[in-house]
Amino acid sequence: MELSESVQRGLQSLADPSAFDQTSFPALVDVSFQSLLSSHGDPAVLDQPQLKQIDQILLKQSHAAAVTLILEAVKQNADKSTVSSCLEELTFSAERIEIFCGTYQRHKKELEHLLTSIGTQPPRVNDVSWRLQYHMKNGQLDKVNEPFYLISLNTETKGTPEDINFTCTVEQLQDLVGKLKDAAKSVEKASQM
Amino acid sequence: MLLVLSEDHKEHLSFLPKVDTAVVGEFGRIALEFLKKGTTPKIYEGAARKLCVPVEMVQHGVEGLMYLMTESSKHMISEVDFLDSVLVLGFVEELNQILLQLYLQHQSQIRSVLSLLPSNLPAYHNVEWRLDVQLASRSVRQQAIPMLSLRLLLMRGCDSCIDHSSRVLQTDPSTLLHLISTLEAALAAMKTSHTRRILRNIK
Amino acid sequence: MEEVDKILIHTLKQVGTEVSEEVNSVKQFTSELIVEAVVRCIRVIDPGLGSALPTSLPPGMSARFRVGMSLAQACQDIGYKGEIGYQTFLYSNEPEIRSLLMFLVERLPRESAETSDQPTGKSVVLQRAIAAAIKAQLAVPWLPPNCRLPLHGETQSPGGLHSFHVQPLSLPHCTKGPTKKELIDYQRDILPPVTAQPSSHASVVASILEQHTAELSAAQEWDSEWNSQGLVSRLTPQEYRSRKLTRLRKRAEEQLRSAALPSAESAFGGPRSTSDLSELLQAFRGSAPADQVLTKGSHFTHTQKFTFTQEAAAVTSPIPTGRQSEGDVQLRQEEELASLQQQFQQLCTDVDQLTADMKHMGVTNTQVLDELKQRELGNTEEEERMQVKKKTIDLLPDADNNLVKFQAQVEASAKRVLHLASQWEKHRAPLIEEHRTLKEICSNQDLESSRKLSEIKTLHDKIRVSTEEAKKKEEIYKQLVTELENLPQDASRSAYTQRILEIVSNIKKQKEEITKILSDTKELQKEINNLTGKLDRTFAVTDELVFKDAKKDESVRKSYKYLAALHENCNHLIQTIEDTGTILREIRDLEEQIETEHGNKTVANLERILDDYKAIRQENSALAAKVREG
Repeated sequence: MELSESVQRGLQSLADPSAFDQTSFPALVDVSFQSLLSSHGDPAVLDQPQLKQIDQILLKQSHAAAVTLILEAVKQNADKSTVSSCLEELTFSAERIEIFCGTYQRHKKELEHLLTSIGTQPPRVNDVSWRLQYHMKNGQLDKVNEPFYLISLNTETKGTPEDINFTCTVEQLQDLVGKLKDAAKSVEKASQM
Repeated sequence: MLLVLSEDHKEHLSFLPKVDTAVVGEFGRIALEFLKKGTTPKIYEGAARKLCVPVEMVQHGVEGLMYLMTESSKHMISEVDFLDSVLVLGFVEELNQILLQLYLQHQSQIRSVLSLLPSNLPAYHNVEWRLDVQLASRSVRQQAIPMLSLRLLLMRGCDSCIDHSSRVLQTDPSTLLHLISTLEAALAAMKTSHTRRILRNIK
Repeated sequence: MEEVDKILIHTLKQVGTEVSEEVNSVKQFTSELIVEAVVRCIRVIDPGLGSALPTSLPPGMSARFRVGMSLAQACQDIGYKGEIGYQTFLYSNEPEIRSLLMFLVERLPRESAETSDQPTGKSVVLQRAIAAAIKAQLAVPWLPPNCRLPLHGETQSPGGLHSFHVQPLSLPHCTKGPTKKELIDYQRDILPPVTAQPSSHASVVASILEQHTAELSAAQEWDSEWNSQGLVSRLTPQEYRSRKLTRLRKRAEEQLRSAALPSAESAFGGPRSTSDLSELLQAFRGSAPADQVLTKGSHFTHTQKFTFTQEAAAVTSPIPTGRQSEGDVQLRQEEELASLQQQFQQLCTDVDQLTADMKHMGVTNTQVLDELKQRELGNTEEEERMQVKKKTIDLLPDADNNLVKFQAQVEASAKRVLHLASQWEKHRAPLIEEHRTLKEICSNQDLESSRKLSEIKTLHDKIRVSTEEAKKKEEIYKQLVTELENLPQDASRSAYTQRILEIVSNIKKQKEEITKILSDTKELQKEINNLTGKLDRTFAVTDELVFKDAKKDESVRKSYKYLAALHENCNHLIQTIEDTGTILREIRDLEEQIETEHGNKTVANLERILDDYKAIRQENSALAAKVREG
């Protein structure tokens, strides 16, 4: 895992016992994870009683560095050993590595989820609803007398739902279901490689 | 069920007995062509020149015939009803029979043309699929997210102006299974006794 | 046999047979278990053949018989050469079953071994990961979107919730040299933490990641440039940077000048625009953005001034002199305009001409000035010459005296020159020497430094190569670790090898013992032979001696008879002992045979055969009754 110079500097000051003591180190680690996982960016996230006596610039720098390290580690899918060896290189004590890695393990899944949610995708089908109707007559035609389906696919793009509506006859629906079944079969086959 | 013909319509059709029966057959053919492809004034002019009558008369005749055919096809009236309806026009029996033959021959074709008119909702045309696995993204370098990409081809509009639209969608395997089961339930609904009874009884 | 059974049971379990924990030897196998084990093995060996066979015995006797027959047939199809029939399964005996199972287990395809031997590269690991992910997703039940929790949404929640939207972040770099006090105050008191800086929380992650990537790539680029060009230039990094900065600035200035000049001249013509540009360039050099804005403004005002004055001139001049008809006025105005335009053009051309004249004049002026300077120079030279001539003329009256004086003076000066020259030489020689040595030192240093440079370069290269290698190796290590984790946790392999080793050592021991016993027996045999030889010889000697004496003496004859009897009896004794030995061996053989017969469970099997026979008869009679009823 590569880290830029400024991040390394911030982390080194975080490792320094004279800059961050026994109480403020875990507090800052917690704050770093929380500030990433909370749903809104709270400007007062660093106003913790344990962090009051630390120089604000140093604090902000270390916070930025810690946040960057966390995100990089999750991005590279680094396991505990990788993170701890990285911290070891930055002169962290074993105790602090333990604290950091423990918190990292606890929050890794959530962070992964957070990072996975970034990206672009076509609309996702979440659900489908259907209605079977009987077409009897219309303005142009009497005695049509055909059953047909009204299908509505519930899709979602970036959190905004959208319905795709279309009609199909029984044969067309059979075709659709057949193709989807084909797909499911191939998915299952792929799972047994 | 009888067709009620308006006075204008009767007047337009009154041109038919004045020409030869073969010409009436020809008119019927032209009328059907027009239903499929739209009108062209040239044909009217050509026919009017041959018959030595005004262009409007030919046009009214053909269009009247076309309207008669579409109306009777729309209601799918029986042979007897058709003959009874045409009786009002006071044509000779032979002409009535020709009209009936025209109607019977082209009824299904006319209905299929008409059935394309009212579709305002897009209709299913085809679906293409592909199994994708997302392996990395800008923010995550190691992942394996299986996804099924679907391309749904929809069709909308009438015969002359079909527009195909396609939507690219994605879904995960478990949702795919859910979709299949839901749509199979939809297909199964066709076979329930309730639906069958309704299909049998409403004719 | 125990070891073999254990291995057999282990493999059978792997194939899918449900062998209970209590069963730990083939002896304990029931008919059902045997059938299941055999069928499972056949299914693995030949799926087409095995799929038709049931894994459990049916209740009916005749059906059982049929299953046994088909199983036997299947085993023979696979290639089992031993004796096999329905009785093997239904009325099992241990050795037969063992040999059959061993045959089947040997025929099992060594799938696991093959897969572990395969070159398990990255792609295989990836494919497995994909398959696992799909399997996991297929196993997850579908939930309506509203019921999905954000946490277990890893599989079903939409991935593209936010796009990768980056916003610039401001990071405090407090150790980077002396900064302004205001900046420090701002960073301390007002600057929000990085996670609160982006306007929407969704872009926090993207922004931080991107910031870091940008920093990294900048550092990398600098590194590569420094290694390729910076090191060769022999400057400190700061110097190199500042030099590059000035170079770039100069380039930009030139570009700007060349791009701006023609257009500026065509638009406004002449010197004014260049002065604007120079202002702009000045501002650029100063690199203070405020100034730049100002100069731009001045540029604008210049153009404005220019156009406005023109207009003003145009407006003020045509003042109508009297009131006439509008047409006249228009006409006159047009005329006036035309004339004014003409005048303006005239003036323009005049100005052009004048500027050209001025240029010409300037040129001539400089030329004239140059000439003047040259003339002045000539003048001073002439004056000097004149003074020399004047002095000579002054000296002419007392020519001889003066000549002598001159000569003396000349000689003195020549001497002085020589003296000075020698002195100079004295000074010069060490200086030249010093210069030479210094030059040498310099070149030596040059050489050394270039050598060191190349060394540094090679070191850099080596460092890069080795870091790459280290990375690669680490990756391979990780991959192997994951592979190891993914491998089926099969301790049996080591157990097998251990057992095999144990068996081998046992066999070795046994072999040693056997050889020992063999040598013992050989020795014994030898001793026996010796003894018998000795006995024969002594007997022959005694026989001869006694026989000789026997002719003479009665008592000796008697003793001879006794001797013969003794010999005979002894022979008998030996014979009997040997006989008992063979009989004992026979007994042991027979006992072994009895044991094996016991192992074959003959009695029990016979009883079972009897029972089954009865069952079949019953079934038959029941069928017959049914037929009769039907």
